Amino acid sequence: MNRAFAPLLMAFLTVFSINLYAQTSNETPEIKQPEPIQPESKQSEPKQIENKISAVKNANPGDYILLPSGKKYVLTKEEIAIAKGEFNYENLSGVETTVESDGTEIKTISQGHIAYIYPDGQSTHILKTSISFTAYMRYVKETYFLAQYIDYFEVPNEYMEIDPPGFTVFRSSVQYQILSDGIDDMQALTITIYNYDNINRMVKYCSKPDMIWGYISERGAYKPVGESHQIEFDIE
Amino acid sequence: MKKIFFALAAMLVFSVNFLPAQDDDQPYLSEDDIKALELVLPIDVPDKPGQINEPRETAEAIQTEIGRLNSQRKLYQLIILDRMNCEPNADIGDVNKANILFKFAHSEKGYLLVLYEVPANGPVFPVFPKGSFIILNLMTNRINTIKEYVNSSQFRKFITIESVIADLNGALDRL
Repeated sequence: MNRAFAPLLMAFLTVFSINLYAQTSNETPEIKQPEPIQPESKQSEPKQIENKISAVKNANPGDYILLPSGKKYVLTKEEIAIAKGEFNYENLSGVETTVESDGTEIKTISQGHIAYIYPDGQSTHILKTSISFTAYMRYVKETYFLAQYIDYFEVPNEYMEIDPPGFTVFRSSVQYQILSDGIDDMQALTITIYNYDNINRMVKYCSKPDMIWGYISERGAYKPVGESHQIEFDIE
Repeated sequence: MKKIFFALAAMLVFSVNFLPAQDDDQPYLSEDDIKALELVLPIDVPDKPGQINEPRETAEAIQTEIGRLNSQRKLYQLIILDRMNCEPNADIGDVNKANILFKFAHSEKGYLLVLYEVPANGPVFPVFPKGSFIILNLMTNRINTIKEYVNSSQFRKFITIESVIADLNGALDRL
């Protein structure tokens, strides 16, 4: 009995001791050099952090990741909340905002995600990193309904592949439009994605279920209202 | 009983402490993310505190911009006009210098779609018919930008006739 039990006990002790060592070795610098109690302004001074998910989760707003070019990728409080899975995209009131002369609000959710909120209630989100795109798409999928389009062979499709632009990095825009049939209003989302897994595509979501691309344009009952806010990615 | 207890405890210690640590130790920004952040496109505004400090007015950038403006490059312009309040069969005028690549007039008072090439030696200011309303005005030196737009659902809000889209694509492909 005891002989059979011994290897199991050894395995447990090995795992436990490695784990304990890993924890204590990480904590060692803090034990040797306890940070003195400083005024609040000193404690919140921005610092460089590692390019790791764990580091971002434990970061303070203003902390930054140093990019290879020497530029700083500065973390906002929203980005840290996104990394922790705690950010509410419905409420952007606390996001750092600048207002353009035409009334457009530019909200910097993170350096990889900037939202343009137009005076007529429509908006466009520009996403520069796949991590910010993935987090935002999770919210879109939970909140809106996928709209399919019918191709020339009358087969329903979830997305349309589009021509690649003249650049090779990832970019995406999520354009919110308000559509109306004269009685009901709804939101239509046009999501343009470039260079995501080497594919360029366009996807549509709606606030109303079971919509088809044609039905949410002038082909059907719902038509866009307000101004057209098209952001074109372009590069010389 | 003891064996089962210790085995479960060992598995618990392993799963609780090690597995999440491995996930959290993944890079936050991938190499592709960093490339995407490093490249600044014209739309990547605004420039303000907390953002990448991109030097916008370096001597090199100014030279590049001057060179770009001085280079003689063709421009392509796609215009859609609403002619509901115009005279029947109203047309655009004063486009003598432009090379009209495609034009479609939808009935006598329907929309007018014109795609033309602006010569490199000067702009073209077409005269729109009285009472017309601009639905779309897209000007670019990248023909691909117009192609992407024509094949997007955005464009199909304005134009739903498949043959027009096919002919327009044909005109673009010939460039």
